[in-house]
Amino acid sequence: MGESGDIDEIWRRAEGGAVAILDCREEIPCDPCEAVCARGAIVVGKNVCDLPRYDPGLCNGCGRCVAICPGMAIYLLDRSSRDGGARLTLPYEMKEEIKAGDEVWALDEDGSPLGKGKVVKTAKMNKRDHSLLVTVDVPEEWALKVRGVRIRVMSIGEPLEVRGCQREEDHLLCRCEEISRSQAREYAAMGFNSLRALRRFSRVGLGYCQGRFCQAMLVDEFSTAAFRDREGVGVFKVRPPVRPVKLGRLGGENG
Amino acid sequence: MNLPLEHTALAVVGAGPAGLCAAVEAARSGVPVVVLDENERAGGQLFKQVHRFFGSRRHGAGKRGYEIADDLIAECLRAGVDIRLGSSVIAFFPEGELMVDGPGGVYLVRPQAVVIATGASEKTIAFPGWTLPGIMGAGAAQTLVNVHGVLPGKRVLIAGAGNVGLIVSYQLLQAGADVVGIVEASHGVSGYEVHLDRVRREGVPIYPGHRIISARGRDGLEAVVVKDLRGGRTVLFEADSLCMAVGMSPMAELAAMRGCRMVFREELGGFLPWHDEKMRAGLQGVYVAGDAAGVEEASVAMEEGRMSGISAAEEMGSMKKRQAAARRAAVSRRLADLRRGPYGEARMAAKCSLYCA
Amino acid sequence: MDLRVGRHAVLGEMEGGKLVTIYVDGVPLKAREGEPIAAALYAHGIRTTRYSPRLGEPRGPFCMIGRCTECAMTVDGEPNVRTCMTAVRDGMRVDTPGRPGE
Repeated sequence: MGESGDIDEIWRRAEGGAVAILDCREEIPCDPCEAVCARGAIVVGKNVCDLPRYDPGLCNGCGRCVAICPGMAIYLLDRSSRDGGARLTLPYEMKEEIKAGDEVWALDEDGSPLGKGKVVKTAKMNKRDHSLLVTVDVPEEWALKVRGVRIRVMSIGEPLEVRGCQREEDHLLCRCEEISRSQAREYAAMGFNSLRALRRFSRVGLGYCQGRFCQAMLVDEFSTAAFRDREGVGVFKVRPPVRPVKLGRLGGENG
Repeated sequence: MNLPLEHTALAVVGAGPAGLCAAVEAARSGVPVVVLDENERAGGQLFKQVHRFFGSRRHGAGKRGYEIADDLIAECLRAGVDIRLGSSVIAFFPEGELMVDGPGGVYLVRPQAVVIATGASEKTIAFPGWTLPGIMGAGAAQTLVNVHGVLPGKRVLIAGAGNVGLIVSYQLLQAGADVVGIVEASHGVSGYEVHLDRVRREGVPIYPGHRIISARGRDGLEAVVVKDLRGGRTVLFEADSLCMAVGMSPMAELAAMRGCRMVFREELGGFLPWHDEKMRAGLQGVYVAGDAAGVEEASVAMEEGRMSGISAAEEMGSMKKRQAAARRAAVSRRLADLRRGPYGEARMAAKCSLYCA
Repeated sequence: MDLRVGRHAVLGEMEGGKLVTIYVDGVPLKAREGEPIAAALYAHGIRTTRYSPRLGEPRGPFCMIGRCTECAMTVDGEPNVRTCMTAVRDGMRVDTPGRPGE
């Protein structure tokens, strides 16, 4: 039995009505499920990184944990219907609208469609936004496999294989002043081994972005080329203004 | 140059989670606080986060990013904080003055203390074609989609399988784009499993151990060529957008300009201003907090913000030593909790290496 | 090409602002008043905001928060305006700097 509750017990209990299934397997700082469970069925405890301990025996299937879980990792299973199917309640936050009566794709954890299910109910997850809890009927054998429902399933195709060897081409490091990687290496070979020295010599870091986008890459490049640690290579000296400002405004103009 | 000069007790630069929390703590103990932010909206990067946050209830977990921002802003306003938007701090002089480019013109602020909570900037990787239109930072894509309601493309490739890459992938799917894949140069996924699960169940393929070779296109991105580092296979993804989520680095130019010592910590995103456990940056009246003091996550930023606000209030004499010590101890405990687990340990060690150095 | 999200899964309807006309390199384009110029252009699939001065490469919005300046265009005659930070107004003239053949 895992901390997320014994699956056999959940399966059994679902015969009597909705019960939560927690698919939370990793120690990350997170505990809202504990707070919303009025029955004390989910306990994280003092350490916010601990996995939730879940007792399905206390769950009344209210679904609040499904609506609050940031990881969308909780759903409800209900096997009480007499026709033998499974009724699932899942969080839904996609663009295409879903409403009761719709036929939707039921997807497994890899996004593969298991087949279609019928939406019996939708409810707003909360008052503040447009996300939904979707309740859908699916065949019983999918009950533990379905992880999402969709109107539209992506068809992206496979990437194409490219033949022939890829020659390493030169490319820009500094977008603003259009200085290439090979040029930066030449500077390093000339003995400029700190960014401050480099900027005095070239225009690197003096462009529009003030080195904001090239600095980290240049530090790596120079620390490799000059066998110097990164603190030795250093950063560009920061000069005012750190944001573009029209000169007239510094003179007191407002425009 | 004769600019208007204004005096204030505490100036906080940046109205993100760290800055707003710093402001609230200080203001509640009676310190007059001015928050300066270049954007037209407070909340920093929170307002483009449409996903629900992890963390503990204390940090607004279970709420969406923009809701957390709204709550923090309301707290600040209740505490009497003066939040000035559209106000870029363009300089922090060694003498301690801030130069502000605000809606009414440029002026100087001379505060007794400053909290630098300016956040982080996105890292990039360079390869042939990386300057093509259609290629942008993942944060840029997030702004475009979640704030302005415009997709960066119909078929998007993501570079980087950390939390940002996984979250942005999901958000693009939510807005109706197809995500053709997530390529990651390292051999594993560094983001949370739950984020990974969410994109996998949408059918997004993940390509660990794959490096971008080049981007192709005439007037904008049309395809990205990627090499499988193990198999040696080279593949081409047709895509009209490539979003780079390859990490963030602290954005602390103002601290550097003021004269703070910059140190390098890989685990915290690169160069950052040295600071102690109280978030003091080694110079009288200068504090840092949040991603600007080392890239972590929003709940850590909030706690570091609180820490800096408490420290500033104490040093200005608005909070008694004992009270400050007790509050700091509580924040320290929560920070230690947030830095536990497989994801937090390296960051914790890197922070400790600063405090102990 | 229409890249507008329209109704968002979480946020609901995202298209706000009055429909206005701006002129991009002289060509009329529908935009939403108040949205950044760069977003309005992108919504129509116009990704190039400038051409680099030395190599003449096309460039487009890269950071969307006013830091990279790749989206700097000429707006109502004023050069180097960051279009990701500048709101659309009716009748605005937006020109692409460095367009080859100019």
